Amino acid sequence: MQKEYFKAVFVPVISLLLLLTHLFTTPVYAALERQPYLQSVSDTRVVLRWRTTSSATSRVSYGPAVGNLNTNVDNSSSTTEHEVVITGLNPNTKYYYSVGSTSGTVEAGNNANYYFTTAPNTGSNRKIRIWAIGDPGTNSADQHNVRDAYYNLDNAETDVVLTLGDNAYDNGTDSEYTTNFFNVYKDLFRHAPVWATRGNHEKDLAVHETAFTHPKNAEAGGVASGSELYYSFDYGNIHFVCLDSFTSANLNGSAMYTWLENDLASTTQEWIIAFWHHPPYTRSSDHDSDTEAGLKITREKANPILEKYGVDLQLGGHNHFYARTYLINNHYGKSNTFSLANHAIDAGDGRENGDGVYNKGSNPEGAVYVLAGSSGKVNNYNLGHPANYTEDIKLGSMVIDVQGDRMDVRMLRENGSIQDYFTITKSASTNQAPQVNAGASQNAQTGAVINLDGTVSDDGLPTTTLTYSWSKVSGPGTVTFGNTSTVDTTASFSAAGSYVLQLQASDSLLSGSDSVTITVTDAGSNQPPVVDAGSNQNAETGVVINLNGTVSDDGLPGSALTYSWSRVSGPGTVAFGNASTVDTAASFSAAGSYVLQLQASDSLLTGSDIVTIIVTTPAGSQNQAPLVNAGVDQNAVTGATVLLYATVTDDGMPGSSLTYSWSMVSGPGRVRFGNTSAEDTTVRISTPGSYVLRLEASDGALTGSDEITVNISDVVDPNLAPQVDAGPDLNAATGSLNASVTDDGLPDGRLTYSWSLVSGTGNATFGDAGSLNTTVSFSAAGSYVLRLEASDGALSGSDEVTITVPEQANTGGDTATAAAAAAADVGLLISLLMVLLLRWFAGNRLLKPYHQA
Amino acid sequence: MSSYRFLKPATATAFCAILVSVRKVRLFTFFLALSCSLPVLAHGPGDEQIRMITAQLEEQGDSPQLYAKRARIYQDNQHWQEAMSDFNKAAELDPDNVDYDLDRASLCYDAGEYQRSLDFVDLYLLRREGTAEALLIKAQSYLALEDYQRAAKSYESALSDAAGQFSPEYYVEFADTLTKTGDKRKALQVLQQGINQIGAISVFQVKAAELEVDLKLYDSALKRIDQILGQSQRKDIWLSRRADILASAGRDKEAQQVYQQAYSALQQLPQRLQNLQVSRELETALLARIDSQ
Repeated sequence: MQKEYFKAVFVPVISLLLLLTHLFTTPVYAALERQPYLQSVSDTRVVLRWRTTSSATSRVSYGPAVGNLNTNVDNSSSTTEHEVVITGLNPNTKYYYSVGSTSGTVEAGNNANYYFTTAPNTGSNRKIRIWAIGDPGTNSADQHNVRDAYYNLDNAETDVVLTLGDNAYDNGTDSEYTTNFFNVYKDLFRHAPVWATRGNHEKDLAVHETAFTHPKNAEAGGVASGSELYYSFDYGNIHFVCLDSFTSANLNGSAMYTWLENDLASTTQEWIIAFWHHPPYTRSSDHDSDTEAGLKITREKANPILEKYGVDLQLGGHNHFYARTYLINNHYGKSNTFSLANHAIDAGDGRENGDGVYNKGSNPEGAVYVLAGSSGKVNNYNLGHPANYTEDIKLGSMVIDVQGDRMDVRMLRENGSIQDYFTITKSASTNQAPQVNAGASQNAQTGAVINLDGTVSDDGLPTTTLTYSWSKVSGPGTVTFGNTSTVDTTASFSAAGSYVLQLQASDSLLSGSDSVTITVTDAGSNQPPVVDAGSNQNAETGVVINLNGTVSDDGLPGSALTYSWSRVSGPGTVAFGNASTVDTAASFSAAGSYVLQLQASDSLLTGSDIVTIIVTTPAGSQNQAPLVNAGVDQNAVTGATVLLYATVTDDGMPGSSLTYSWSMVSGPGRVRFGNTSAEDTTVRISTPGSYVLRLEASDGALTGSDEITVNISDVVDPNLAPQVDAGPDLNAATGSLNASVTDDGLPDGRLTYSWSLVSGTGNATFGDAGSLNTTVSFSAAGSYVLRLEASDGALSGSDEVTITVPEQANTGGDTATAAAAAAADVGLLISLLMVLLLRWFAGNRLLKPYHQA
Repeated sequence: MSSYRFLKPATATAFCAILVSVRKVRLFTFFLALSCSLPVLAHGPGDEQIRMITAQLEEQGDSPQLYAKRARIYQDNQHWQEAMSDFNKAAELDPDNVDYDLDRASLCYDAGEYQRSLDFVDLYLLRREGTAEALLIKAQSYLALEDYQRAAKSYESALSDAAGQFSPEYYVEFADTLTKTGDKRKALQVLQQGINQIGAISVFQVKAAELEVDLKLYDSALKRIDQILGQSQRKDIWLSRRADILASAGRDKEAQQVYQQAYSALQQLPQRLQNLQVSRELETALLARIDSQ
C-alpha cells in the first residue's frame, strides 16, 4: 500500500521538481566571454571561434545578407570553447553570420558588424590589406591608441591580421589573452582573420594553442607542417609563412626548417611574407641578434632558406621599437660582418618619392626585415644595427597593402602619422642601352695589325642577343678591321696620324657606343722611348732611396721627353722626390713589396719599365710575439665537451698569418682537442683531475703562449670553482688591473683573491694583492705575466694576464721615484713657507710671549 | 598521467612543442602542469626581474620557488653559475622536490655540460622512473655526446612513456638518431609511426623517401614524392627529385623523361621564379642530366 502511494504521489512530485530544477538552472543562453573571431580563412573555408561563460552547443548561421542567414552549421557537443568549421564557400565572397546554440539562441551577430570574406583565388591580384601588430597585449592606453590609429586610418577592409607574438602580457595566461588581446581587438577580429605566432611571453603553450586554430594540415594552402606553431597559408597572390622562433627553431635537426624548405619549394605565389617573433637584425641593449638564441638561430637557419626562394618581407617583434632594414640579402652573421656593399641589394630608402622603390622585377633577390614590436609599448634602448635603414623608438603598427606586383608598407604611429614607409615592386625592368667600352688608347704603326679589345654589358632586355659594329669616326687614312661585327677584333691603318674608332652595341631597341683613339706613326720612323727603371732595390720604411732610371729615344717627333714615376702596387704609399724626372728619390710608408713604374713619352709614343722595391721595417720597431689569452679556467665533468675560447692579438709583423697550437701541459689523463690548430676549439677529457692546457700562437718568427686550467670531476658536485678572468693582456706601463670573478656562492659565498707575479723582467708591486681589482707597478720594461687566483674555500680558479711594459714608458718605479721627488719638492716648499711664517710671527708681538716662554 | 614539466627555454619549451596528448583534457592538464614550471622568460631586461625577485627574497625570506624562478631567468640569460647557485639553494631548501634535479639537468644541458646533465637526469629518474620529459633530456644529452645508441634507447623509452601523440620534431629527431646508429629500417618505422599519428606531412615523406632510396625501396619512395608533387603548385623541384630516385633505381629511360618534364616545368615558371638562384642551379643540374644521355 505504502509502495503504491509512493508511486502515485512522490514519483510525479519528484519528477516535477527535477524538471523545474532543470528549467531554472539550465541557462537559456550562454553569455559570451570571447566575441567571435575568424581563423584559418581560405578561399572556400573559414573557422569561427568564440567562448561562452557556460557550456552550450554551437551553431553558426550565415548567408549573403543581414536577415538572410540561410545556412546553419552546427556542433552538437556542449562546450565553452566553440569552434565551427564552415566549408564549401565561394572565393572572395562576403558572408554575414551569427553565432549561438543549436537551440536557436543567437548570442551575437546577424548585423552589419558580423561578417567574413573568403580569400580571393590563389594567385589572383585583388588588393589585399594586412595589419601587423607586434608585442601588443599590454591592455594599456598605448595599445589602445595604436589600435585606434589603425581603425581611423581609412575605410579599407582588413583581409589579414598578423600578430607577431607576446600577444598577452605578462605571461600569456588565459585571462590575459581574453582581456589584453581578444577583448581589445574584438571589433576587428569578428570580421578579419587573425594569424598568430608565439612570443616568449606566451609561456603557457596550452593557452596559446587553445586560443588559435591554425592550418597545420594546409587547410588554407601551402604545405602541411603538422604543427600549429609553424604553418603557411595562401591569400590571393601572397604566400604567408609563420615560423616558431621560440621553441621549434632551437631543436636539434628541427623539422621546422625541413618543412620550410619543402613549403617554399612548392609555391609559385608572387609574394612571400614570413613572420615570427624574434627579429634577426637588432642590436638593442635589450635583445641583441648577435648573441640571443632565438634571434640568432632564425637568422642563421631560416633566412638562408627564405632568401633562396625569394622571400620579400619578414615581420618580427620582441624589441619594443620599430626598425627595418634596407633591401638586403645573404647576411647571416653578426652585425659587424654586415656591409651595405656586400649585403644591400638596394641601399636606398625604398620610397617612390625618395631614392626609388625596391624593385625586384629583374633580380628576385633581397628582402626587407621589419621589427614591429611597439604595438603595446615602447622601451628606450641603445640601438644600432647596420642592416637597418631606420630604427625608431615609436609606438605603432604595420599597414601593408599588396596589389598585383606592388607592395606598400607603412609604419603607422599611435597618433595617426606615418613614421616610415617603403614600397617593393616586381615590375619588369625597363630596357637600358648596352654599356660599351672600346678599350684603352693605343699606339700603332702603319701597316701593322693591332688588337681592339672592347667590352659590353647589358641588362638582357629585350633579348640577350647583342649586335656589334666597329667603325672609323675620324683619321687621315683607311682602317681595315678584322671583323667589324665582333666585340674584339683587329685593325690596321694606311697612314700615320690620329684615328678615332667607335664600337657600337645594340640590343635591337637601344644601342650604346664608345670610342678609342689610336695614334699611328709611319713604320720605321718614330719609336717609343726605351725605358729602364733601374735595378730592383731594398729599402726601409721612412728611409729615402734613389731611383735611377735611364731613357733613350730616337729623337722623334722632335719634342722633349716627359717622365712620370708612379706606384703600380704596394702595401703603403710612396712619396717621390720629383715624379717628373728620370732620376728621383722615394720613401715608403709601410713594409712590403712595391712595384714602381717609370714612363717616358715623346709626345706621341710612350715607353715604360717597372722596378721592384722590397721595403722592410727598420731595426728598433721589431716584430713582437703574439699576445695570447687562452681564456678563463673552466670546470667540467668527465666526458663533457669544453669550449675553449681564446683571443690572440699581434702586431702584424713579419707579415705571415698566425698559426695556433693547443697542447696539454700537465694532467693525469688524455685530452682530446677538437682542433689543435684553431684559435678556438673544444676539448674532451675522460679522466678526472686538473689539466693545464696551453695555446701557442706564432707569427712565423716569434711565439706567444698562455695557459688555462680545466678541472675535470666525475661527481656531481654542486660547488663549482670560481671562474676567473684576469682581464685583457696589455701593452702599457700603468697597471690598473680589471679582473672579474664569478662564482656559484658555494660553499659559503666567501671568496678570497691573490695576485702574484708568474714571470717578468723585473719586479711587480701590487697595490693590494688580496683585492680583485688593484694596481700594479713594474720596476723595469719588459713582459710580465701576472696571475689572479680566486678561492671559494674549497675550489679555486685562476687566470693569467700578460702586461708588456714598453722601454720608453715610465715604469712604476720611475713613477714612484717621480712621485717621491715631487713629494720632496712639496715638502721643501712647505718648509720654506713655515720658515717665512715663523719669521713673520717672530716679528709679531702676539708671538713674543710664547717665544719668551 | 605523468606530470610533465620543463626547465629551460630551448629544450624545455621545445618539449612543450613536441609532446601533444591525444585527448584535450590530457593535453590541457599536461600543459597546465608544464606551464607552472616554465621558466620566466625575460622580455624586459633580465636584471629588472632578478632585482624584483631578489627584493622579494629579502622581504619574504628564503623561498625555493623564488630561487628557482630567479635561476630560470639567469638560465635564460646564460648566466650558468648564478643559475646553478640558485637551483642548488632551492634544492637545499626543499630537498624532497626532485624537480630541481631536472632543473639542474636542463641547466647543464643548456650550458653544454652534457655528461653532468645526464648525472642529474639519472638522479631524477631514480625517483621518477620513466618520465618522458627526463628521458628526452637524456636522449638529447646522449645525442650531444654522440652516443647514438643510448640516445635512441632514451627516445624509445620516452615514446613508450608518453603514450600519446608527439609533434613532428620528436619523430624526426628519433629517426635521425637511428639513422646515425645505422638502423635505417627502424628509422623508417619511426617515420611511418609519425605518419600514422600526425599525417603524411612532407617532413616525414621526404625523410622516409631518402631512407627508402638507401634501402632500395624505390617504388615506395616514388609514391611519397608523388604525393607531395600532387599537392605542390611548383612542380620542377619535385619532378627532379622523382627523376633522381628513378636514376638511383637504374630506371634511366624513365629518369630521362622525368628530368625532361622537370626542365619543361622549370621553363614554364614565371620569370621571377626562374631568376631565383635555386632555379638557376636546378636548371644547370637538369641540363647536365639531360645532356649526359
